Amino acid sequence: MWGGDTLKKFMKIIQMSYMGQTNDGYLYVLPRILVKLLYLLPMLVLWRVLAKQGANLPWTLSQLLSYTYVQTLFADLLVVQTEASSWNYEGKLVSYFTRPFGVLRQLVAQTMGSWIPMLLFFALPMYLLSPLIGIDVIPRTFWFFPSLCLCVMLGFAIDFIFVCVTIHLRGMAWLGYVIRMSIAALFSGSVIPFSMMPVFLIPFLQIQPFGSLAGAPLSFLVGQAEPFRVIGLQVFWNMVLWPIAIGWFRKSQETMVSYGG
Amino acid sequence: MFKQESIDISCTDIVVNVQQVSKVYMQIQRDLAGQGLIKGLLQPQKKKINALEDLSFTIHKGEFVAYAGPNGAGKSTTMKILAGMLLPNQGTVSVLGLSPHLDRIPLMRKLGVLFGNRTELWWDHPIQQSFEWKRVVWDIPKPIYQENLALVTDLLDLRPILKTYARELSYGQRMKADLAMMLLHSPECILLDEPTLGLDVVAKRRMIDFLKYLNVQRGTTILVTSHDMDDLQEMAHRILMISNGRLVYDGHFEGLRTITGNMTRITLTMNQEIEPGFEFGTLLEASQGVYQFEVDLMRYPIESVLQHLSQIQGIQDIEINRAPMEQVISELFQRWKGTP
Amino acid sequence: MVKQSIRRYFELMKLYAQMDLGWLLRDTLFAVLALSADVVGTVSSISGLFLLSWRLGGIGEWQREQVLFMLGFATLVSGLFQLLFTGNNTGHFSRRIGRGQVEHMWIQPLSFPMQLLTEGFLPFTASGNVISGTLIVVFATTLLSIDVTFVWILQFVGLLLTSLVTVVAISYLVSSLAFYSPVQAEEISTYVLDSLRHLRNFPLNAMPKSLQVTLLSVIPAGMIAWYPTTILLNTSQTSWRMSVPLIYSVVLSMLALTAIRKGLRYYVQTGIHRYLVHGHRR
Repeated sequence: MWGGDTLKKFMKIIQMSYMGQTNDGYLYVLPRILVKLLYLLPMLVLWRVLAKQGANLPWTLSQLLSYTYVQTLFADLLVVQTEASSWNYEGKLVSYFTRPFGVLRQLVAQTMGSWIPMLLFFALPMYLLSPLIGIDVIPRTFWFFPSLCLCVMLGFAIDFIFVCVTIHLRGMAWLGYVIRMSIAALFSGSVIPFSMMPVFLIPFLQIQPFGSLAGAPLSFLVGQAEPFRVIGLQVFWNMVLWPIAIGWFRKSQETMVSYGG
Repeated sequence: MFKQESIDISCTDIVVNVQQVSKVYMQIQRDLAGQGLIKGLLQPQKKKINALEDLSFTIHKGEFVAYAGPNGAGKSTTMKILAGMLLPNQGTVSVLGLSPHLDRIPLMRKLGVLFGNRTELWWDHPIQQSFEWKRVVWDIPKPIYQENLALVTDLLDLRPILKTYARELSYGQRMKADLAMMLLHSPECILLDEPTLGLDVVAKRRMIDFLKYLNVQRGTTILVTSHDMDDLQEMAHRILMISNGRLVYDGHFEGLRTITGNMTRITLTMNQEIEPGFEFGTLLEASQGVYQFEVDLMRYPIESVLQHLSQIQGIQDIEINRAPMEQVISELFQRWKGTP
Repeated sequence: MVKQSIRRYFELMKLYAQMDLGWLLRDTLFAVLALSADVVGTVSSISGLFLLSWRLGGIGEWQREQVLFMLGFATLVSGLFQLLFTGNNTGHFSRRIGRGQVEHMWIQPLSFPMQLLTEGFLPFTASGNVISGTLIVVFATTLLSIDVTFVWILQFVGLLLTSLVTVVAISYLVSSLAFYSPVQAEEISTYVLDSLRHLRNFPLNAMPKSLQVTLLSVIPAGMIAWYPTTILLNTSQTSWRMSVPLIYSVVLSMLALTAIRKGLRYYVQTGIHRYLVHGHRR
């Protein structure tokens, strides 16, 4: 399944995706970096403000800062979003079927290639700078790494399911996209940790599938997760959603191809 | 290299006037690996492309002009300059007496523009709605709009699709609808960039007939680009040929033949599978007793050729055809490609 | 000339309103989804911070009701932006530039400002946030027992409009980058407006002065909701502060206009060799 040739093709697609973003020069990564910094700084300040005002926070300031900092650095991985939904609307996804390589693999490779500029030019420098600004980015437990892998895998599965939703929505694809992004932002725990939400909401937020995205590895990062429960939930949702994603995607191919024209 | 044939034109008003227009693009070049890749990150290499070089031509009212050239010759660049989307680096342009760049709004009230690979229709609305949108935005008086709508609906057979969403139309139907929409404001001059691209034979036929109708009956000036030489030859009276950004020919289609020689195809069907001794031509094809020769009638007068043929034994049938215009153009493109 | 322009403006707004209504009524499922998408988007964008403020009883010096008012105001600004500038990517001009769709604008006998001010009008399908924002503001106003006078309403509408102009101006300012790099900057207005949507939700009163100044100047997030809220809730004492959002929006608009003009001049020199139909008249 993943022989030398397959890996070579996969890497080539990653390379093309990465170069497509940088062919006009690297200067244009700057606005995206600035935007990320604008996202990050107020959140860091907010936690400091809340800590200073003596708010009854369930986590320490250090944990909150780490959570938000790492979430910003790895946002693309923590809530995966492929370009499939918008492509589908254009019928661009159809061209993937003309290549001798799995469509979903192409999407995965394309997406991973798109991550590289921000990982190289934002995440890495910021990671190295973190000790200087007093933020601890070292995971408190090694469970962070498997959890991150499961998070990325689940992110792709959820994204592929949403691709199928947009296929069936046809001319309303962008509506599906808006709803999806809204749900993912709130329910993944990427903006505000679940522990900071009203207490009656926390169990529901942790158990639903989006809760196994950003919130899961980040809670391991700050040492606030029970491995068995969190990893267990991530494995569970991966096992449930991947077959649905692949099955539904295969079933939707005819609609996809006909609609795309 | 430039050749111009005299053309008898009864109309005198100049609709399109292009004088000494040049256009240069800069293209970024990227190495894939090694030192070039690193160097390219900091100081990208740029290549200068002369899209148009000292281009000059005029089009008079009522003319139907074909604008042809190989890929990358500068056809679309010219069209965009005429539509005001691009500014030439040098030279002057006027369309209907107006500057496309400075007088864009009044010009667009009189000019029709259609690019073959893009639509002006509203995707999620019925065709009728797109037409209605055009009426309001172009501020077309209702009587003129109604009259034009009736005309295009009838001539382009749009009635069955007026209430259909643009997204549900076939490509050919969409092109028809786009063409109809372009004409609703009674443009005096039309620019068409590859309008027959991707159309089937029936749709193509309809479009050509319609354009000819517009030109003859309404006196609309038309400038059309296409790669299909047969289509262009049928539609247009005059052809402007462009190669490497330069005008290389301006005249009738027939005049093109004289540049490469008056090449003619003579096909001989023989009683037996024996190659006839035909000295005037080059053998192109031989198959089961059918032999096709190419003869340059500028070199060998037709009388001599016919006399020679009458002396060949065993001929069952003779077919004489002009070389396809595609072939003539192809040879010209090859020739001009090498010319600085 | 002015009279004619105003007439044309309303004529075009009427046309696009009719088209939007037609689009909405042709497909009920679409209608429901369109309105739902707006509401879901709104709820999700403000609920994180709102739930946090609810759990902690407020943020900084602000009570949770004041935070709610600010979030409602921010939602209304988004709502107006969507109502007037969602259609045809008029509010995300970088998409039009990056996808080569600006060429369609050239062949219309309308000035570019007239096209951009009218084509985006979606009074029916994009009204969700106006409605939800209004409801949140009304609810918060009731909770805060604000004395809603005619003057206060005028102030409210005026500040709403200046915030809207600020958002549009910043969108066009960053969109102008797409003239120089169509591929990379195609979605730049989306990134920036999404970031502003996130940043504007923060009450700045508790933030360090340096951050306050930054978010009230270079990055106008604070100007969109927080600063107008301080005026409307009378938490700000000085009357001259009323003119600050207006001056800011005017200056930003001038900068945006200059950048777009410069970009268009560059565009007609270099052209664009890219065309994507995605989002064009859809």
